[in-house]
Amino acid sequence: MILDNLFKNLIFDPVSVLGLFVFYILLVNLPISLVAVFQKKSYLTVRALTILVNFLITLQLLFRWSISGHFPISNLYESLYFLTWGITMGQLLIEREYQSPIIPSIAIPIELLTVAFACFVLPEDLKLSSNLVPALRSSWLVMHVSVVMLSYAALIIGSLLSASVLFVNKNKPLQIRSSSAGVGGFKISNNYALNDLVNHIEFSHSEELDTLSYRSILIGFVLLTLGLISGAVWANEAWGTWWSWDPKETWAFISWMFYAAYLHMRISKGWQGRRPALLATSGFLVVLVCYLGVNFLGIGLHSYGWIFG
Amino acid sequence: MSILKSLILKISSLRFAIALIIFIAFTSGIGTFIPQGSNSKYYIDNFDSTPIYGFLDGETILKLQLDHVYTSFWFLFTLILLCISLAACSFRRQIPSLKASLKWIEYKSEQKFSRLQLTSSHSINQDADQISKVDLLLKKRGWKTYKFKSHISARKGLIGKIGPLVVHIGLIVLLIGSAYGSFTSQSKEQYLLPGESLDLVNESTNSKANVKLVDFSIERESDGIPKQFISNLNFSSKDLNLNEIKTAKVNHPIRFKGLTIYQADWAISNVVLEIDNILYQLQLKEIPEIGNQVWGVLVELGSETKKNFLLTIDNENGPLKISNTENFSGNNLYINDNPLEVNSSKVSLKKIIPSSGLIIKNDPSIPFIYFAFILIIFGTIVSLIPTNQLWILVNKESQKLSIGGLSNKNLVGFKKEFLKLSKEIKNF
Repeated sequence: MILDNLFKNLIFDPVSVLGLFVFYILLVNLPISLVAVFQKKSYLTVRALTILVNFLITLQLLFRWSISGHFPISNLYESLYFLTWGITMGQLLIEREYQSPIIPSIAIPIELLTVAFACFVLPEDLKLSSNLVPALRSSWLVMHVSVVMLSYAALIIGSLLSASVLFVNKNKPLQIRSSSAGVGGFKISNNYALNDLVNHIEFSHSEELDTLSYRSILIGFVLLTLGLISGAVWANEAWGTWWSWDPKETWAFISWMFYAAYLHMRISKGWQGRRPALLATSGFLVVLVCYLGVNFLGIGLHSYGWIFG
Repeated sequence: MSILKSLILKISSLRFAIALIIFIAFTSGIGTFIPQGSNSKYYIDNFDSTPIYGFLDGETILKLQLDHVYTSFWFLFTLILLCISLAACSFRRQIPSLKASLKWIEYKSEQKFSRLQLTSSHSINQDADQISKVDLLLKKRGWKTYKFKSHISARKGLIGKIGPLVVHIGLIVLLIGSAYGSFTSQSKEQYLLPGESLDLVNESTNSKANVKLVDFSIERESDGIPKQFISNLNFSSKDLNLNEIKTAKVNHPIRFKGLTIYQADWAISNVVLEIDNILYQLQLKEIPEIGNQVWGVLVELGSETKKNFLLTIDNENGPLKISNTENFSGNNLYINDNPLEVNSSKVSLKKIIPSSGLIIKNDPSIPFIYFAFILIIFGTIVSLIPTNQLWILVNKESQKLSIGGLSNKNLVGFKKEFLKLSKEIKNF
């Protein structure tokens, strides 16, 4: 009976049903990922469920695309799901580089919150897809919005990884292993005897996490740059000004400057150790204001479709 | 002279640059919380009684130019400082460090290897020519190598190092380009009715052209939401010997002899009414008090006693709403419908004439801006590439081969590659 209903709903409204599915899978995945952290072991279940979440969101957005007939990141509901898609994708890619139960345990809560916000907090009429205003009917929309959302995903992951750097191996000093300048840093001491047994140095857990955080912020930074520039070119094509200090633009610019400061801080001699990680962690708030805050204020060119009173 | 030198030193320092970046980011944020570009009375009225953050009252806002943050004196000054800092940093740090990284670094003793991030060593057979074999392997794996008699220096992804420099140059071009644009760009917004025209004059070539709006139409979805605005414009010029029709749409501007013409806005500027068998063309104005995109006009109607009526319309297909200004009761008047009796006058709607809002712009800085964009995109993407370095050393006496490696960005990834390579070398 319940199953019968479910199938009916799935045919009638696949987008919301798949959305709810994703929420429940994440709800199950969260405690498992936390158990994995305490066991200090990577669980295959966690990764399999994350792949499932990623696949279901792909399916959901494709359904939305075929139903609405336009690119499915045009309102807050869709963009929240796409953000979750990006974060799960980032989580899987990072885990391929370095397996640590910490990575899913910081990504999954954010994925869960994002999806819960989309499912239960957004008013019903904002979940539906609506027709686009003429200015948005452009192939630039696909490029601009998807790149910006992916950059948010990468920056959020990077910031959260940096947050973990602040807590993992708290008592050990942290040496920055990766930055844009320099050679990459040498060993702290050179008491290592060269013999056949001790071969290479082991990086501490936090140093590995710090490197991964740096890489994902760097990728997020590049995507944000692409997003800002594609937006500027599009604006110039649509209404003849490539920059107008509209709040969304301004906050994207602030995020860009903020992470630029982080990247420079890593190569500065005076700010080594965990200080850049602290800056990157607070970058999470800047991205949050840029993504949601500006739209809650409901001002400017980017406020179409989702005004909250 | 030494004061200037120490000033440049200070400006090109990393600490100063970081402080500058954070300052610009922070002050840009202020502009999104304080409404920008209103008149001074607005700030005095709104913020004198309730100061922002408890201390920013209306007068302070005006004094600090926080009513127009992004064009304020101090904000532009920090942007100039940023530009100088970028240039100084490029010349004093990035270019010398790039030159330095082009040089091949030799590691001739095992002592030096112990300082590298990644090291490994193993004993080897004396008679085999290990160095040539390793050199061949590295070349096959895409490394650039410099082979010496008993040691090799190798590197990969050196191009990643020019990324930051290219981004900085791009930013300098962008800042200078936008300053140039703010002095040279010209822009004019113009509403045209079908049949109306506009004269364009090019002062440098002393040629004239005329742009006439042939027609203006709005495509709508079935639910009434506009889909596209389309203006057909006729360009004619005796000087240039041309006469052609071009179409401007939202997102598809017309480019014409250095000018760009954008479909920016629209309005309903006229309606033709027949009142008691006489045709009147009435001009409408936007009435923001009623709502977004509502146009209207106040008229006196009535055959015996005149009364004020407000006529409003919100789209080009009608209907026109006729409201009594005393009790706000209203009637809808549809186009080419039967006449409506209003205060014993017979009123019918004959025509609704929308006008097209065009922006005509000439911005000679755009090529520079786009060039800067290309530099910034290229620079950021290239800077993703990690620069890895490897050193191989064969010690004939102790019969030992040592491998050492460094990566500036992707140590986690490089560690895997390093372990794989050292295993392969060991298995020779």
